[in-house]
Amino acid sequence: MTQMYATAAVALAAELAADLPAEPGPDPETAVRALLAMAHLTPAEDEIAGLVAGFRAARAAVRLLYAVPEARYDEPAVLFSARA
Amino acid sequence: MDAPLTVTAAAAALRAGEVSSVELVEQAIDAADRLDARFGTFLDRYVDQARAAATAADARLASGDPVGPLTGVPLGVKDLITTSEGPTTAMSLVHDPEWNGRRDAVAVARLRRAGGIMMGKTTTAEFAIGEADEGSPFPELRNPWDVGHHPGGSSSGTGSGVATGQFLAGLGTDTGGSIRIPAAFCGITGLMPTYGRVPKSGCVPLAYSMDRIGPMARSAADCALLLSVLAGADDSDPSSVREPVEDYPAALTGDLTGLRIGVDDMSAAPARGDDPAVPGVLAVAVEVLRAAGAEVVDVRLPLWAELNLVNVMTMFVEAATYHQPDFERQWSRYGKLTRSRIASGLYYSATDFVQAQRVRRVGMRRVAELFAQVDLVVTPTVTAGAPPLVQTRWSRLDDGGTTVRAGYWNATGNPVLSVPMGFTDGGLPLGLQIAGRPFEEQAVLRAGDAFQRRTDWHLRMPQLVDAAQAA
Repeated sequence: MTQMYATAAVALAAELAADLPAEPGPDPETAVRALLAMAHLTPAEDEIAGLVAGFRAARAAVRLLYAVPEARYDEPAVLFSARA
Repeated sequence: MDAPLTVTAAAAALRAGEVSSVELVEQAIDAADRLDARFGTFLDRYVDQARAAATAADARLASGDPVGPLTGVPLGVKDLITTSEGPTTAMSLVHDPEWNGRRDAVAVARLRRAGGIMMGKTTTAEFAIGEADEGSPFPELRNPWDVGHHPGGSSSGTGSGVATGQFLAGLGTDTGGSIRIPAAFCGITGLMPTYGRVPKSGCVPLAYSMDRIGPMARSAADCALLLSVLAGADDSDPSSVREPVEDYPAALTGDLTGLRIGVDDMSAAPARGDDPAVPGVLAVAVEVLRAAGAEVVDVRLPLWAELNLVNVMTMFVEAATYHQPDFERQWSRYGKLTRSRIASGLYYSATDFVQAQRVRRVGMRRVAELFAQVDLVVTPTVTAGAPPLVQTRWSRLDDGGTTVRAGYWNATGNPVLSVPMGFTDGGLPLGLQIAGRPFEEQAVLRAGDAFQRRTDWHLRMPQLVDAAQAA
């Protein structure tokens, strides 16, 4: 269920971000293989192909987050306390 | 007497001596004997321990000594949350089943201290996010209303178990809808409490900053009773929050006078799989809330696409972090879908992740501004019924997901209840989400209870269960 929702959420964000100005991104296959190597992962070729297929939409979707004007000077909602 | 359908009714009957815990537990065992395999509810059953606990509960009830509010009540626990009776698998071949040293998670310990009886561990999606490969040793998950459909996830077994009477209530977890979706698809009630309201220590993480443990049961009143036991900070969970714990059952007045409810029908975010029955069912549900005394206004949830993306991205990045060591050593032991989804967390940079958390802060503020105008917000939980089983498989990954309306609230942290609000034309249950201000679960539960005092959707029993009982 989560996986179907996730794919849809990324696709919607990518669609909304389509009109935002952007530089051409990296070649998906090159990028995915580099990311997997950095994570010391060696999936089968069909799984790499699946990850490559999802890469472009994911990167496009991220641009939507940088287009929220109020976030420019906001603090992130991360958890930190000086008390361990 | 007929077997009580709700925790509230069972607890009252136990105290009145109208039923014994042994009878309730035997009824639950009998139901599971007949129905578990059909719906894939349990991964492990604690029959002997439950029988012993029921006998002890009856002795306590007979003694006249004070007893906990759940004394003698059979419960199920999602197999992401540890229990002392047996291993915790996260429905995965990878997870160390002895993790947490076979100790009760804080939430389970609280249920047990209140007298609850653990009937077993219930099915989930692998690590609450994926799917086991075909041929794996785990059960096939099926919807109690139509076995050709999915029960919803990832708290699937707790959903099907409550819906079919294999226990009266249970624990689920919710990171992107995993309590509310199976509650909606199985025709029961599920509460995702405010982030930090219920300690999550002893629960296998999916995404640290969004995971929540919450109750699933037939009614909002049952969820209120369970939350009164589950709520409150614990030092073992640094994200649990020291906020006052309300008397949730006492908040259930049946009257919504003075409450202003915003309705977002999701028409601004149409989806390919939307069921045409949903708008009409939602309209009728909203009229019930109005009849209970609420003022109703139309609203639009702000930053809808952005906060859904924040939910997904945060979930995958945090999950990829948690799983990295096991990915390196045991990649092929994960389900193919599970590992592909989690690995997609690698798409995002550290910069992207922090930006997502900044947008999350903006979203929380915008939602708080909305809640300055209204006391509650209602939407459909999902704008369709449960998907056919084929849609959850690897080969059909892209189908249907846009109809899920749940993950937005995981990004913002608000409490959200899903209550049954009717059926599709095909006979599949639909859910109504009721969201409230952070740490104001009492308002959410009050609205859900008022709705359920005027409807009986939450008490409907799937015909498949009746047929199995008659056989």
